[in-house]
Amino acid sequence: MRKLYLLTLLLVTLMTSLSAQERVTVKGYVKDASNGETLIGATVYLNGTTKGTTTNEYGFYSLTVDPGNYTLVASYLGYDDQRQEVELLGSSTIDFELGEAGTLLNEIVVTAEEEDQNVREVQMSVENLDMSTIERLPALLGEVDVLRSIQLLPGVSSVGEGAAGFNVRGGSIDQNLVILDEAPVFNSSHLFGFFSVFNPDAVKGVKLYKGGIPARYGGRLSSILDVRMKEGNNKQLEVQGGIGTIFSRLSVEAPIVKDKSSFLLAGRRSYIDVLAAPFLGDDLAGTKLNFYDLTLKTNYKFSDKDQLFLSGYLGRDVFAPGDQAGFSWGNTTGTLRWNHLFNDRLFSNLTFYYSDYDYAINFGDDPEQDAFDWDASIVNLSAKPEFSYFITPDNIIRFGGQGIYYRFEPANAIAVSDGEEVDISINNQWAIESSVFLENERSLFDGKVKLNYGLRASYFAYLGGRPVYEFGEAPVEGLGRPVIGVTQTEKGETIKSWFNLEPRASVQYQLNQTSSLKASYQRTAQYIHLLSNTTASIPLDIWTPSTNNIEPQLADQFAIGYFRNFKNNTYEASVELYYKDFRQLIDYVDGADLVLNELVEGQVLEGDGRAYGAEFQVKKVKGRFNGWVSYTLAKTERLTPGVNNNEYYPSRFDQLHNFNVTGFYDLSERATLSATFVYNTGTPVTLASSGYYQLGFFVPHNEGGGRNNFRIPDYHRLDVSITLDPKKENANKRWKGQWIFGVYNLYGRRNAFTISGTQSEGRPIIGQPIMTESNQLSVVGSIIPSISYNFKFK
Amino acid sequence: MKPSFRLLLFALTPFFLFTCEDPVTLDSRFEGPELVVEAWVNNISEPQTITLSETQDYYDNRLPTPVTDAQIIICQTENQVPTANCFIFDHAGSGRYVWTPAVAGQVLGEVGTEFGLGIQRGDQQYASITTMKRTALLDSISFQFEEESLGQDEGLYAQLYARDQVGQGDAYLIRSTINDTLLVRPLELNLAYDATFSPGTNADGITFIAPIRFFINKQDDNGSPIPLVAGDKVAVEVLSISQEAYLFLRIVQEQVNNGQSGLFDLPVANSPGNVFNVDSEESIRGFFNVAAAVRAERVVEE
Repeated sequence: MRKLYLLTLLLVTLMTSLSAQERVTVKGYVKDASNGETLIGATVYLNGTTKGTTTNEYGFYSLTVDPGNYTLVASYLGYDDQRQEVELLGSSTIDFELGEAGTLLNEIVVTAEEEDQNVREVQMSVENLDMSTIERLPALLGEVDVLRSIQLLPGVSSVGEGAAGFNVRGGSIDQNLVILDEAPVFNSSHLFGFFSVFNPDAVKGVKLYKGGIPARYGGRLSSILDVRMKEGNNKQLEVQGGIGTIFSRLSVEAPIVKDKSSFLLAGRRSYIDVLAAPFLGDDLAGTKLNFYDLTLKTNYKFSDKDQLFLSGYLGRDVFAPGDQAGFSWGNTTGTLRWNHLFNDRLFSNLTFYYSDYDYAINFGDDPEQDAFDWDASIVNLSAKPEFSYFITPDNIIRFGGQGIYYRFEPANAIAVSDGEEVDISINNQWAIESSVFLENERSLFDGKVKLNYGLRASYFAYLGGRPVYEFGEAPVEGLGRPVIGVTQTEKGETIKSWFNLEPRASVQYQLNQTSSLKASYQRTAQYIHLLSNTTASIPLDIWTPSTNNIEPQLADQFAIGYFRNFKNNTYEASVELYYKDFRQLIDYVDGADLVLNELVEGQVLEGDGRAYGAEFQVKKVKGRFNGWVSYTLAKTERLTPGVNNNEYYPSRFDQLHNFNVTGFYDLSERATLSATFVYNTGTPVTLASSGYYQLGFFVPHNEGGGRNNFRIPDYHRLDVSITLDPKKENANKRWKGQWIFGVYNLYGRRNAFTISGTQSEGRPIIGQPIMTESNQLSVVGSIIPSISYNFKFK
Repeated sequence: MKPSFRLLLFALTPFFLFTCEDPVTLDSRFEGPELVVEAWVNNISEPQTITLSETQDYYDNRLPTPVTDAQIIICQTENQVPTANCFIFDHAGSGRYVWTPAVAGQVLGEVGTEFGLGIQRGDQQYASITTMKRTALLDSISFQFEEESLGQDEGLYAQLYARDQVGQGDAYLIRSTINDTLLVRPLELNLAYDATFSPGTNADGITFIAPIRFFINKQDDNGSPIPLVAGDKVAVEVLSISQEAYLFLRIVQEQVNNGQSGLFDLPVANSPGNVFNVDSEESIRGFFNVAAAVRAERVVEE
């Protein structure tokens, strides 16, 4: 099957290259003049024509045109355009280095793209945020946060403050592929869900695909969050750092060989444990409580044709109250990429990555007598070749493939009880996932219509080497299924495999200079799943492959949109409608036992889902006052046999209304005022309605068995911050300091994270009533002011 | 989710610096009273009690309404067919139905015996079937001095030394009484499955793990164990429970402790009962289990 695809690819490539023979190609890179960082999505076009292209993820462009004299223009919002007169007779290389626009005020650009790219490009349902925007958003405790920022965008929500992950168009948190320089990050949060694991000093920008996902991306149902790391300044040494409420940060970037090679090393560490240490009592002496991350990236340009990138990430949360227990978790990733230009028009990238998420937990101060020791991990290794063939500016072919090897270690665990040790480990699981894709981007009818269509073929095999279980029928629908058979399997043998074709298509129709219509369709397949049934995912949640008992999740999404810019691209407006159909989603039996359970597959239910909604966004991208307003009207529902009396029920993160305003205002040359306002409908929870006594306990009961049958109050919050940059006369000094004063939750609203009924405190006495109460939990229950100081040294 | 892991997460909540809890009043969503049966009986020759009551609004904060107009019988059964060995439970007031051994040493049955429960109330009949399982091998209650550690003061604490029987699938309910106070705080509900918290661990035949041994101590409002003092009497019973009873009680355990763990709450779930309305075949609230019981008690010496 795969051979056939490759053959088709070759033929198509050959055909189109023959027809484009007499033309000439100009190619090159577009970079930031100050630090040599490549600019992603910069526009390069021939002045006076509609011929143009944008740079790819590596800042590379390739334009093939008829021979002649041209003025080539490179532009990128927030930078000055650069023009170059060229006589194109044969193939040539022209690199651009753009200088930051010399605006009088420290104007912020809220888009990382060329001015009307939102209207002109075929891609819809995509959100770009560059670091300069993210850095100006008011942040919880002043900690700049990539993942919290994207929650201000339409179609993105979360179950609540402090919850790990985010939900895109009705997808659960494990349906987002979060990639850091291509390597997946399985748990994107420090301290459960409060801070994201990405160090803002090391990030260049993020791109979120909510729909119309091109065929080159796959593996998750709902979104791709592509986090790109900086390459490191290849012009001069640059040191950046900051002191915040939670983290201290330091990063160093510098050229190794000027214009050829550079590196970036960035680290962050929380220091609450250092501050708290003197106040801890004896029982807590030796307490460890910190989280940190380290990011490293380096690159080397061997020639105009070859460049290598090496990036790595290590992050860890450590909690060890006293010396009796310890708990730590974190991600590790490593990526090696090789950009190679086969010729002027064929760009390739070969990526190898390693990624793992693991945690370890232990109890007991006497490992000989009584102890508990458990660690778990998911490890994956991948090779991923990708090719972009720039046939003409109107015809780009991308093709490639990926192979991933997974090892799941759900538990390596021992329990020691009264001197006896028992191994309570769970057998490892192995799987491979492979895919090939072919994608064609066309511009037709003088650029009036653009198409991006493609096909992804994905294959997943659940491999042997462990006992494989067969489960019988549940005694009652909605309860766990008992094991009825066990088979031992050979290492490497395929227990079960799946093959899915994932067609993708986007079309754009340019209505006039300032507006366009877009539509897209995507099918996505997801073969690995996060098992989690708590309100917010916890670090102990484990990933599982699809097995003989757990089917891959599938989704189809249709979206249409209208895009229009006003007032010379000062305002960008869009409306998108989507409908998403999910199949074989994972749900859990009542009282599911998901951790440390060899037979966890018997606790999983399979259901369907649907999500639909409308997303509205208006951005003002220029001027002293800019920002955006977004509003999402949406519904997300699930249908699982045995749950909610077999009727559709809202998912835990369903929000009918989600409204955000983000504004930036330049008060003066030095000061920027930023504010965000967030409003959304309260999420649904399940509440008990009745109760009864049993064995001296008062047991809550949900009459009728409805799931998510109660809405918590609506959520709203206003955050503001002021950023003070160095005085203008100090702008050329080597040391630049920046102060940020912020207030999160300005009017101190106690927003509900959840409402639950609980037994009141105090000892129940047999023969007397047990008291109950309902409480609203607010994760942030007050105003949170913050001050941070950032510096840059060049 | 094992209680101990939740506890650990709970221990971290002070770190959520700005978290707060406010009481809220919710509109009643109570639909109406349903019959509740509390039939946890055992193989000891002593009066055995079954209680009938009604469900109430979760927030009523009152004792349950007793059901006094029913008839209850337990019979030994074979393949769900009653034998002649039946035990009638007479109403003894307040919804309590009691069977008293006719002669000393008379018991409901022995390990492996199948039992049926029958309840008649008005024109409605309810029934249930269960089998008595084997219980753990109880060795002793030990008193050990513990140093101060996280969430625990220095002092003398009790531990239950009991061993799971060899062969998987044994489930136990451990009930502890200290100085005539039966321990029924939510966190004091103490379950063991093959010596650990749950079936998934695949443990077997070992001494109950440390947290289970330790849970027989009385806890304070913060969930910390309270040290024993001289003269304290600790009485413990280990009751065998069926697989269905284990699932029922594990969900009870999760649910009565839910709402404490904030971000990490589990979804509200109903404990699946094993007593069914004969006509509708739907389960009613509550449970029927016949346990094999072992008991021990010990007094802290002066």
